[in-house]
Amino acid sequence: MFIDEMKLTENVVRNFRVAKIFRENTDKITSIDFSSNGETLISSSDDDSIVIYDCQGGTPKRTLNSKKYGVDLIRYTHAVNTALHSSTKVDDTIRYLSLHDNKYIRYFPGHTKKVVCLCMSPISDTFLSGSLDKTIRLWDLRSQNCQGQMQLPGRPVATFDPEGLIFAAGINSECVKLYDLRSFDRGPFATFKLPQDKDCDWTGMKFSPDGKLIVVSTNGQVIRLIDAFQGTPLQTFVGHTNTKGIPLEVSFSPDSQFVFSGSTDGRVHCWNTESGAKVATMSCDHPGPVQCVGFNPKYMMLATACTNMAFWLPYIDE
Amino acid sequence: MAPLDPQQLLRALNELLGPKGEIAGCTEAVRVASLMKDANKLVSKCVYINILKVETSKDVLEKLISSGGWDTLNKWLQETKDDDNYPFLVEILKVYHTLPVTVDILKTNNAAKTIKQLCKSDNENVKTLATNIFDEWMKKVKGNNNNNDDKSKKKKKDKVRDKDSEKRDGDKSEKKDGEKSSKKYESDSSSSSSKSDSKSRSRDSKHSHHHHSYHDKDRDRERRSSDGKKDREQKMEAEDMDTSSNDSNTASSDDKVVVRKGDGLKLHIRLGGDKDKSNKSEESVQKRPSTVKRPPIKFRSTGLEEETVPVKLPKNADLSKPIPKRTGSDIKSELPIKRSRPNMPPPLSVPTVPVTSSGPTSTSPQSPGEIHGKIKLIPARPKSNHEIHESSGFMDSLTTSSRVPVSFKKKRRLSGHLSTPPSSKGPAPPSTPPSPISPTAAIAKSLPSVPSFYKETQETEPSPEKEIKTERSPSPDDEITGQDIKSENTEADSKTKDIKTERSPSPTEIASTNSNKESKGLLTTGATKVKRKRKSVTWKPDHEIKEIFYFEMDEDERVNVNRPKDFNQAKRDEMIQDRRAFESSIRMKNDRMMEQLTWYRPKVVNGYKVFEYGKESVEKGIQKIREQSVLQALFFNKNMIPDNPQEPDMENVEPEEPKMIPVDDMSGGEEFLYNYETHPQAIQQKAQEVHVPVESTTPAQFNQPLPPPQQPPQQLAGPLGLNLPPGVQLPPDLANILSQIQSNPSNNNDPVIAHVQQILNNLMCGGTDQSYEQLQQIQQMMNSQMGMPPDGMMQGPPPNMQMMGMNPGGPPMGPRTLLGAGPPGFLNQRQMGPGPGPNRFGPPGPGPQGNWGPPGNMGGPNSGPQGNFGGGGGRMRGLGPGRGARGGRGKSRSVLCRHFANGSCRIGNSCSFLHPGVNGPPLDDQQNMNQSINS
Repeated sequence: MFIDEMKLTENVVRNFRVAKIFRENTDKITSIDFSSNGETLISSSDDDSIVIYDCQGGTPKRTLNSKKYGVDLIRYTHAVNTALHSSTKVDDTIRYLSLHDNKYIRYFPGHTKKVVCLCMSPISDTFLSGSLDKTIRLWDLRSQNCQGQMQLPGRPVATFDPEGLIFAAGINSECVKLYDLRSFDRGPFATFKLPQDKDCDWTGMKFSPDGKLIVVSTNGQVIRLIDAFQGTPLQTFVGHTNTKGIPLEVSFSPDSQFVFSGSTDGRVHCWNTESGAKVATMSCDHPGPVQCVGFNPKYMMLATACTNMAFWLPYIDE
Repeated sequence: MAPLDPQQLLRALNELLGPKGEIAGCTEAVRVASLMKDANKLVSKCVYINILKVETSKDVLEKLISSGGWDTLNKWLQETKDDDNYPFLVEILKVYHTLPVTVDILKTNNAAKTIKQLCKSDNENVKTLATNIFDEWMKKVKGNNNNNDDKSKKKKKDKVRDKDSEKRDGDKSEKKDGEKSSKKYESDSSSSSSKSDSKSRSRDSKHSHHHHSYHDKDRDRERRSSDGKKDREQKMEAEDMDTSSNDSNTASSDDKVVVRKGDGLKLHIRLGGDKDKSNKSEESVQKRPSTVKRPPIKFRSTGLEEETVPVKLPKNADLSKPIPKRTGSDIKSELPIKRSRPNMPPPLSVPTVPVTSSGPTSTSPQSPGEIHGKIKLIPARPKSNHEIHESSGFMDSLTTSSRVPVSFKKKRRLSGHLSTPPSSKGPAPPSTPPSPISPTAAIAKSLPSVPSFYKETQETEPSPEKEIKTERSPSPDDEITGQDIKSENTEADSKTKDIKTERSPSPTEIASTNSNKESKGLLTTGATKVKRKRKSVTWKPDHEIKEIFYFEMDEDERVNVNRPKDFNQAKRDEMIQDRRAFESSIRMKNDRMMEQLTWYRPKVVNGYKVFEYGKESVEKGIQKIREQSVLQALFFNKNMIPDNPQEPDMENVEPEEPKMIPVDDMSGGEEFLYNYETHPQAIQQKAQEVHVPVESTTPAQFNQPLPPPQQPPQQLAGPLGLNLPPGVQLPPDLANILSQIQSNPSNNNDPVIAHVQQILNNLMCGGTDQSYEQLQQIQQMMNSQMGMPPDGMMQGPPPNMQMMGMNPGGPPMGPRTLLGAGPPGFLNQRQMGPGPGPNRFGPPGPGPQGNWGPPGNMGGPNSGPQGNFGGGGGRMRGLGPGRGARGGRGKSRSVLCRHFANGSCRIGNSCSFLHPGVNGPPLDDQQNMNQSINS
């Protein structure tokens, strides 16, 4: 199969344009996740629906509802047709849904407050969840029993590294602790203490695809980039707006060169991880805050969402 | 107005009055009537009433009535009734009682209606009087009807039939029907008593019809009450007795109103005991004419069918055609049969008369003659409810009256009780299933039966032909004769079947009832009959029609109701909803998103690394297998999408407590810590500034690719005493420096050492990763500025090594070889350890020397594992229990705890020595790890 590759440069980034707009949802889209092969995108919305898009054809593929429990964060698992999502109603159980036959496979009860981060291990059936009940829990898809639990003093963030060997937990919006997944019960093997963001909370954390960087998103006006090995603060990205204190999502490009973030003004911002410089501010008239931004892990495609879902492609002048 | 003196008034009236105070003559009567019109005061009214009471001359009274007295009296009656002036009401009623009433007069106003209403009055006197009057009037009305030409009657009756059928259709109509039926019944009885009269014959025919309908109703009642049959049988007997008694009692003159009145009065006087009888007798006489046209068929058939199915069959066959002969035998046999039926046979003789008399008052106060038309009107009126009640009351009274006259009172009452279980009144006749509840009804029962009016209409409707038939059979005997006659007539009319059915229902033939019914349904001319049956079946007695259920609030029920339990919560939810709606509307309004590009298949990003996601996922396979056995849920449009996914299958899983993930390092070893606070920004920036010169000054030395090692490691190792494994090569610079260090171990501040560190750092970082360089620069700066001893710097290498290890994509070249040669830092430390000792190592606790030192775990300086460890540094992250730091810490636990080895360690998990498999990896693991690293 012929693979049409394309190098991602700043110029390409600047040429990104909206190629598809989907108005499938009636309310804010709260979470998106690409499948690992980059071919589909799953999204959850406050209107309690789950919409799956085909990223190659640029079409909505499937819609499911979860009116009873609501859908907040949603993540693909490794099985092609399954997803995990957190709930907005009834309780804060995490639910494991088979998209194939629209049936829940398993519930993962434990959290007592809203789940604010959910991360699937890139390689195994393990996943992490963090909740406003100030715990991070480690789970295995095959068991409804929680495998590990961490008590924190504040709002947690947690993520796996791209190789699935370690996970990082953000504590108190000032500390990143790295754990070895196989011996997490022995405590972190590294702690990065960072300047505390007094006026905002960490709301998300992601490793760069090459594993060298950690980006910390906040519900404030800053995004921090730190070294994944040293814990050194490398860059602080500013320039976007977050006036509503919402957890704006940040996404790396597949080559770890760029960081994309939404903004409450409906625009999308891009920074260079190397230089920390703003590469582009892309406007597409999103009517609401762009809470979700995701760069396809494989393809040259960007997805942004407020209530509308927009698929971006670089404009190629040929 | 000034008070009137009655004496004065009497004096003024003197010339108009006779010696007894009565009105002198017809001419005076006219004047009195005109004077009465003007009388407004109670006193004057009383005077006139008294005058009228004394008056006995029928002619005078008629004159008075015709000249306006009737209306005046009606007006007074109405007024007094409205005022509840019972004494005066009684007086007026007495006057009414004496008045010679004709149907035409009754039609002129609603006096009859008023009196009928008074039958329900709370006042006993008023009630009895009103009832008597009503009964008498009914008789008259019926009598008039009888007197009328047969043709006219037929016409009227036909009309009435229609009306009746309509009424029956309506809810209220049933009750009326019941009344009518009872009335008919009574009239039948009366007719039977007066067999000689042609009128009576006609009545008999009517009776038969009535019986049919009556029986229908009876059926219903029977169905309702299990006691029905017995009751009816008793009633039947009683009625039979009544008929006989009536026959004897009822003299003859139907039309002599005066006589009746007199009887009525007497009866009233007697009320305590025999009123009923006397009234009934009178009524029966009167009724005969009124009841003329009733077809007996229905009555018998219905009653018989329901109650006495088995008995009927033989009798029916017998009775239906041979009328007179079998009548006698039939009578005997039938009597018991009739008993089973509620009312059929007995009503013929006695009770009918009172019914007729009462009928006109109840139904049509205005025009007794045109009962039918009035009947129509009545149901249409809004007051119909009242009428219904009244009528039912009349029905009761009728039945009771029919029973009362003879000595069978006990039986009647029993039957009444049995027949009307719903109404506590007891003696309610079986014929009136919806027997009214009102207490007056009970009283009415004791009184002569009244409500024949409706019955008449119905009866008259059914068949004029039947009348003719009745004429044929004037047999004076009991019902049987009448029935026989009817049967004959019906046969002739093609209603014979009905007759048969009627007879068949006779209690003897119980078994045949069904067949009979069917035959009836087919044969009966009037579809109304069938309808009646159905309708009557469905209706409940009045007081049972209303059913009230109280549904108590059940607290548990509320749970299911979609109702907010918490008001505040609901408020909040609503607020959120509103806000969302608002926002969404704004969004929609502002949604100007446009697609700026046509979609194309996105290209793969250059640099995308193929990574086998989920390679360790077991669940992936599980789900794949599952999906092969489960149908996919397909939704072809949005409406098909269910609101919720299906719930998961239940799993029985033992709950397990999750392992605690410590926030702090629990291994007790050293944890890599980057503390931003110790790296103030100023310093960091300074470091960056410094960074440049450093780079510029030492690029050639450190950052450039290392020159291939010139000197064999042995050389280095030899002089330096380094325990480098053979084959390990150190860069010459490094080797030199190391040798220097080794030669000057005590010189802490020797710049050479710092240099060495720098070199090491740079080398290990490969010089390509700026961040590492920066860090090193910073560290260097810090160290130099803070005057930390270079030995302290020796702590640096571990982090650096970690970094190296953590740098998966890091340049493997220089560092690799370096590490492969054994981390210089380690070597230095180890070498230096013995020299300066702990002094050089700031960190308290387990001396770094101890940490770094354990030769066993590290494989010893001389052993291969050390080199392996270092060599694996590049992949450290993936392989080691932790990143470099973990490895370093691992060393701290790498010394096997002696006590643990001996079986138990007092300190347990907090022991700083290795407890394999407890606070550290099992020995096997470590070995495996090392092996895997090596491989």
